[in-house]
Amino acid sequence: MNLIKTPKIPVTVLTGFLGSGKTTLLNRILTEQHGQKIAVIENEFGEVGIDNDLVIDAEEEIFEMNNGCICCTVRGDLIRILGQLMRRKDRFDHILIETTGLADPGPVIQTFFVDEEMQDHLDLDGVVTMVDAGHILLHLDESSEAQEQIAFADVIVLNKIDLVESDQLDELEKRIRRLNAAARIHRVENASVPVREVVGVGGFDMTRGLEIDPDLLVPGYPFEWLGVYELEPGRHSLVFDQDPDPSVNVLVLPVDSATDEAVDRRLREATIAFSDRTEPLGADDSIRPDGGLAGVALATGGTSVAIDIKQAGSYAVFTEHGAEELGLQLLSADGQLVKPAVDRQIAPDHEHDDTVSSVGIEADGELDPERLNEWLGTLLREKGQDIFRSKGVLAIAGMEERYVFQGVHMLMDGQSDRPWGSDERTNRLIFIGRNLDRIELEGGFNSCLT
Amino acid sequence: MNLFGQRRSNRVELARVKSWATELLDLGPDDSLTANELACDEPDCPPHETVILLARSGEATVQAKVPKPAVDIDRSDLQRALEEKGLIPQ
Repeated sequence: MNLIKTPKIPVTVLTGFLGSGKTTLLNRILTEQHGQKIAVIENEFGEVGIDNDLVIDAEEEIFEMNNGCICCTVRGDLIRILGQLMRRKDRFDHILIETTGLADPGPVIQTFFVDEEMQDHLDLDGVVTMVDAGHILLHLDESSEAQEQIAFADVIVLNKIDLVESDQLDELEKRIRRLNAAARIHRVENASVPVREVVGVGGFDMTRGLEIDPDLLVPGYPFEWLGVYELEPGRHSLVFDQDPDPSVNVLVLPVDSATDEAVDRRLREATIAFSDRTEPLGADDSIRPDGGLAGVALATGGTSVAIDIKQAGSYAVFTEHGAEELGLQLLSADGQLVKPAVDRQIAPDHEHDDTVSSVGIEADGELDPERLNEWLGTLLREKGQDIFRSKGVLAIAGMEERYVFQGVHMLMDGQSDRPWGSDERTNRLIFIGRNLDRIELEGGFNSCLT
Repeated sequence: MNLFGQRRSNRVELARVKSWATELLDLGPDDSLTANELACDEPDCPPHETVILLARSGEATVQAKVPKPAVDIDRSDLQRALEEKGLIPQ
């Protein structure tokens, strides 16, 4: 029996488009005095100019494993190279794998999940994505690979910031955050990120805390605007000057008072109502408070529909699109313009239609293990191709310890961690992927709460 | 998938499968193998499959699989799976 556990070799995956500065960073890592011997697996088009016997050229070989309903793509060349490196692992402290500019990092990462022996010797440390601040917007608009490289990252190095104005950089960082709410972002010039920020980052260490941008934890709502009006009894009118779509869904609910707090108490109910079937509003129909979701047909040149109010009070109007986008106004029974006491844009206008996004969920309470297992299992089986990464720290009913999990596409691993102790039992999880439906994910997760 | 069920490490059994595969395939020092067990509860899938990826030096990666968990695999199961894939002569 071998009682001395051999330390694992950490592995960093470096991705980024051509010209993003990967080679500059690699050359620095190989020449700088940082006290670590780093073996580099360079892509076949790599340009590392260092003569070093720890630089290995890899010819990308994508291999698709298809087993029943579990589909997993791995890198055959890496299996070979890592196998060989493991036989001489006393010669280096760290492995860095560079991917080709257009590569999807998924197969590289999944290679580490298909063999337990490999996991015994190697420790996938993190995915570092280099981003050329001057050109990334173009790449994000034109290529799904650029979005995926950002989505997979634990660390994003926003390079060449000297080529971009600072307000543009803020905007760029905001867009990157929407794609990946959990990665750490470093702004640098000339790839000058400290080596310690890119190796030893612990991105796949399940016991580390989960850092999610709080903005991404805001629940998603199926409506983009709400307004609260003080209304007297009578037949009022909702006027739509614009017609961005042929029809728009509208819901009116009574609220206790014309305040943010009062309307917040009805948000959940409004969300559920928006998932109901829409009743198309006929020409002579009016919208009634608590009357369900009304589908208003929008005519070119403007539309007016009646709201019938029986009792004076505060009423919240929820609309599928923003009030400005709809050119929305409320006129009282005598034709006077009524201004909303609460006027809230729910979803910011998305300037970009990125298909990749992050959905962060934070909720107190405990999860039923059977329901969670069923939900996560089905989710990954059915949507795993589109879910690049998932991570979570969960409070399971009857379990004293935190349960931590992480997944890459359909492959998932979880374990119990340290006890919650005096910490609040709060569930935090994040999904990063393509075409994620926040409402559906939140609904699925909520159904697992006890 | 069963996140919270009794998780049993199967690394000993997978290591045994790999060592048989190494012998049967007569692997050299530059060849590599992975072995993994996949579980699926879909009606059309075998509940457990042991999947081997063979990455020989200078050759394309190939996959062989045995529709059993690693613990139930014996040498002849593996031999048959490798023969069926044409990786060793019958």
